[in-house]
Parts: sequence; structure tokens; C-alpha cells
Amino acid sequence: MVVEVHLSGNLPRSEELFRLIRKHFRGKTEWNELRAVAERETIEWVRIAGRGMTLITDPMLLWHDLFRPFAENVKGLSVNGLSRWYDNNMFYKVPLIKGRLELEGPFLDRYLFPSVLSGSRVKLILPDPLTMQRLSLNDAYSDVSELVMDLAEVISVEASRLISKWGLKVELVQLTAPEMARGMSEDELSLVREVVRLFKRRLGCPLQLHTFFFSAAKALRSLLDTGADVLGIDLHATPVSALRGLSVDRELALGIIDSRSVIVEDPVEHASLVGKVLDATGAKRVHLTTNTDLDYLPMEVAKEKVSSLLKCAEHLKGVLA
Amino acid sequence: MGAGDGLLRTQEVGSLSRAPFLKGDNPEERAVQARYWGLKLGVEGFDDLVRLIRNGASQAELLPWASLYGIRFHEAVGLDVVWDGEQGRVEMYEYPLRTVENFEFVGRVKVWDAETYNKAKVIGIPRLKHSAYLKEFLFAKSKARRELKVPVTGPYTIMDWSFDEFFAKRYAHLDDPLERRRRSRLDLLYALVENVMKPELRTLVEAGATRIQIDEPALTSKPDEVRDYVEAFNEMVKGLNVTWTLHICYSDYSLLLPHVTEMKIHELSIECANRDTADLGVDARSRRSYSVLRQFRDHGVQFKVAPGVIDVHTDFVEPPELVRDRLLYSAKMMDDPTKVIACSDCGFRTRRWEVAFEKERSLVKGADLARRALT
Repeated sequence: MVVEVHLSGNLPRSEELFRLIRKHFRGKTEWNELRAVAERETIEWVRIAGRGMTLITDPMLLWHDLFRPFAENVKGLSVNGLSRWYDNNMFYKVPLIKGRLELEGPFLDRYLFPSVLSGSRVKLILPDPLTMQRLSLNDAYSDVSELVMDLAEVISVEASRLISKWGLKVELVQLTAPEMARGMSEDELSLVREVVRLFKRRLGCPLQLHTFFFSAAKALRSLLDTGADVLGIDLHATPVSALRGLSVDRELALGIIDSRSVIVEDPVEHASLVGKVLDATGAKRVHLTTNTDLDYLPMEVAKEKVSSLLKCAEHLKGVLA
Repeated sequence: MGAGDGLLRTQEVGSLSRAPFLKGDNPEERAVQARYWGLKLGVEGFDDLVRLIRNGASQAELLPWASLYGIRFHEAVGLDVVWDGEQGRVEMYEYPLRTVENFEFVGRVKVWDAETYNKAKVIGIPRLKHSAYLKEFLFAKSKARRELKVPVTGPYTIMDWSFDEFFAKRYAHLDDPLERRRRSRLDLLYALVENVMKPELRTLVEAGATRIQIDEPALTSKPDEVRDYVEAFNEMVKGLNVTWTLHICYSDYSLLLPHVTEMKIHELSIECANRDTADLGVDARSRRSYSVLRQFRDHGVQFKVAPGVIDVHTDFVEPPELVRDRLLYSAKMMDDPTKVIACSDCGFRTRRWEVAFEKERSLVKGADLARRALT
């Protein structure tokens, strides 16, 4: 029943790493020194995840916001001013689309530590092209669908280069797609179907569309029609009652751990919540995860949350066995 | 003419980075900084500060000097309305919470890139222990040669930037997580208004504050709460005879509408330059981030608008001509230049003093150019 347990985004950095990044921005720390500290922290996070996560994610400690590696490296894109990241006191730098998108040299491994992940079953986290299009400033494309497909092309090709170069055993790719929970037009839905096909064909593994911050209740019908293998929903934004009557024939990734609250989830209570979702939707297989990035929390609290997720998974496995 | 009456009045938004003589370990270098800025800003008695630094004075002993330098900084640049650069504050969230009961700091979290803040959780009904701002206001009042505007962190932002471990439990029985959150947040907001903000603002007014800026950078983060906030704000300022500025930044300001029209404020200060182009011109393409002012005009707002014409997140010093064009376009959007105030996007906490000084000087020069073009 519970098939996988994994995280769904960035993890917090230590204060030392924050300081080093700031120094690096000011030109006072060498890139190698920064990488060394980030790598040490990545190893520690991967060690913690290894206590029970079935899929391991890179903590993305040098990945400043969802779009940044692409905004900084893809020809035709650049980084513009700050904008609020949904309803949070967190901001991202808006990608500015100023020309046709074109990939140059590989870049993702500068933001990640693929060597730390070698040998593990890996989940790779990438931006959803529709979300990126909606949250970018477009000064170049008159046809939005063309832009979405070009974004899908550059993101998937770059992911494929990373996987082949490092021989990663990627068993799930997550497209981080908060915009999909806000609703999609018919045209956008067809576009997302194409995007899903493209990623699955190119990367050759199951695909998760991960939504959060908004109730997925209304969007779930559309999401079921995208061809994605796993649908991620935020149980801290979606009432279980609103899921009743949906016939879910896909795997659900349930964001049971609230990455924006310091209240640590009770495993018994949350196992019961998962049971209610299964009853309401008829879903047969679930993944347990965090609703979003854990870097809304201080590092120590985030560690407690990871531990809570693992306890929830253990408890649920016991209940369902 | 009082500062409140001038065309395109210039003002700051709040913070400066720490005074250069507070930074670093080498007393001689810090003394050099104190002397350099003392001369540049015309700070009275700066030789005493230089001596104090050389004699190993503590940071606490130097803080009143930092406040004085902050005030003179804004005066020397030529702003009409000034403050002390928030030299005594760690930052806008942590500082006032240190004087509020039932908040506990839990650690640093990211805001963007590598910028962080020390985030607290609320563990009970918040209550003001003592004013966070009175001492600094009395000091500034005794030193300032221009009109003062006191920046005060607003209750919505305190609520929004904190974890809630107390009010959320009241509604744990509700099925809808978003409704649970909405109700608990409203409870926290009103608890802050009644038990923290009202006593704090009353204290400042009784001490002589006539201009207060309520900083609410978080306000539009949950658009369905703007209406609740407007009611809470009006309740908070009831009976206080003050010129109220509301400052918001890095937000979608159209989300304030229509409720903001009901708000008992005199000025709305917003960030715009950060997302504008650096091209000269008073056309929609060059001035793409100022069109929201037209929406305010169309809703018939009674307050003045202070669009940021200086970006506080880059070292690029906007030429006065760019400032001029941003102000002229703003005046065009409002259809009334008397409803426009010139200021920066936000405080200069992330910029060095050299950069902030040049940027603010450009603000003043640009406002002067715009005034000439308008009259």
C-alpha cells in the first residue's frame, strides 16, 4: 500500500552555509570552499534520509529557488527582480525570457552533489514548465504553448545529461507544479499531457506532478488526465472531505508533513488521515512526503519533521500490514 | 511650508546598514570611518566618538552615535522626512518581538538566496512588556533637524512571519486546513492589535510622534485576508492623531484593492523600482512597474502614494534623470503630482553606506528635476 517515502524539495542550510554563500556573493569566498561545506551538509542530509526514505533526494543546498539554475544558465533566460513565492515570506528571482531558449554546456551538477547520491534509488526534483512559464516575465515568445514546450525541452535535456553523466539510478522524477493546483485551461491541460510524455520518454522513469499550497481537490480531476504516474497533493491545504467521490487510479504522494509549521505531526493521527484519503479516493498506492520544501523551517526543526515523516511511514506500514 | 505640503516630498523608508564604525575588529579602522562619515555628514562632536572607539568603547556605548549618524545621513542627503536608519534594531521583525511576551525564537530561516531572519513561534497570548520604540524615538526627537517618521513593524507582518503553536490548536477539529489557518491567524492578528500595537502606538503618540509608518511587507501574501486587515488597522489607529504611512514591498499591490480605499492611512509606500527597467522615459514600457498607480487612481484613493524610485537591492546608482522619469510617470498615473511622494523601495539594510548615500542623493536630485518639470 505505502510504496515510497521521500522528500519533496529543498532542505535547510546551516547558518555557516548561509554565511558562506553571502560571502561568495560578495566575492570573498572561493567556490570550492563553498562547495566543500555544501557537500558536507548534503552528505549529512542524505545520511538522515537513509534512515527510512525509500527514495533519496539531493537537499539542493545551492539551488536558491525553483527556477534559478535554469534562469542562470539557459541561453535566452536571465534573472530578474525578486517576487514573493506564493503566500510566504520567501522570495524568488523572476526568470526573464528575453530570447529563444537554447541549452549550452551542462550545469545542473554545479547545483547538486550527484556523487553523494550514487548507489541510492534517487528521486530527481525539477521545475514544472507550466509553473515556470506562469511565474516568468516573457518578453520573447508570442505563443505561450511554444514557450512551455521549449522550457520542457531544456529542463528534460539537462536532467537527462545529469543522469547519464553521473550514472544516477533515478526512479522517480518530480515536476514541482504548484500552479497546477490553481487550475488549468483545456489548452494548458493538453500542453501538460505533452510535457508529461516528453519527460517520461526522455528520462525513462515514472513522473510525479507535485502540487502544494492550494487545495488539490478541484485540480485532481485534471491531474488524473495528464498521464503522470504519481500525483502530489498537500494535505495541509486540501480537506479530505473534498476528495470524496474522486476515483483515483494513480499513485498519490500525500504531503502529510507540513513544511511551514513547527508543530510536529503525530504519527498515529497522520496515519489515520492517510487512511481517510485512501477511503475517500479509492487510491491503492500511496507515497508519503512533505507538502513542500523543508527550508521554511530552521534546520533542527526540519530534522524533527524528517524524523516525523519516517515515524508516520513506519506506523502506517504497521497499521496496514 | 511643512514637509507634508511640499510637491514630491522626499523621505526614507526606514533602515540603513549598520554604521561603518560599528563594523570590524580594528579600532583604528573604525575610528577612521567615524571621522570620515562625521565630516561628510556634518555630525556634531564626532571627535568624541573617535576617542571612544580608540578607547575600546562597547557597541552598546556606540549605538546612540550610530543613531545620530543615521539621522544626519538622511539630513545631509537632503531628505524632507528622516529617521535614524534603525541603528538600534537588529531587524524589523526580531527587534519588536523582543519586548513581547509569549514569542520564542526558534532559529534562522531563508527569505531569499542567503538572506535569513530569526523566526519566532507564538506560544500563548502575546502581550507588550514595554515599548520597543520609545527610547529611540525620544533620542531621535532630541537630535533631528527635520521632520521624523517612526517606522513600526505592523501586526499582520508579525503574525505572518511567525510560527503559530498556540492559536492553531483552537481549530484543530475543523476538517478544512485552510479554514483552520484563516481563523487562527485572525485570532493572532487581533491579539497583536489589542495587546501589543495599541499600547505601543499610544506610548509613541503621547511622547510626541506625529508621523508613524506601519511596515507591512507581508500584507498581500494572503489576499483573502486584506479585508480583515483593513478592519484591524482602522481599529488599531482609532483615536490617534497621527499622519499614517503604510509601507508594503515586493508584493502585488493590486491585491490591496478595493479594501485599501477604506483604510485610514495618509500615505501608501510601495516598492516599484526593483522590477522597473533602467531606461529613461515616461512611457508604459520603460516604466512597467508603476502602472499599478493608475489602478489606485481609478479606485479614487484619498491617500498619497510613495512609489519606490530607488532599488535597494543593487549597487547600481540610479541617475537623477531616471528618478525624475519614474516620478513624472507616477504623477501621470495618479493624474495629480501632489499625490506622489519620492522614496526608495524599502530600507537600505543590505547596502553599504557609500552606496546608500549616493542612491539617496540621486533620489533628492531626481525629485528636484521632476519638480522643475512639473512647475
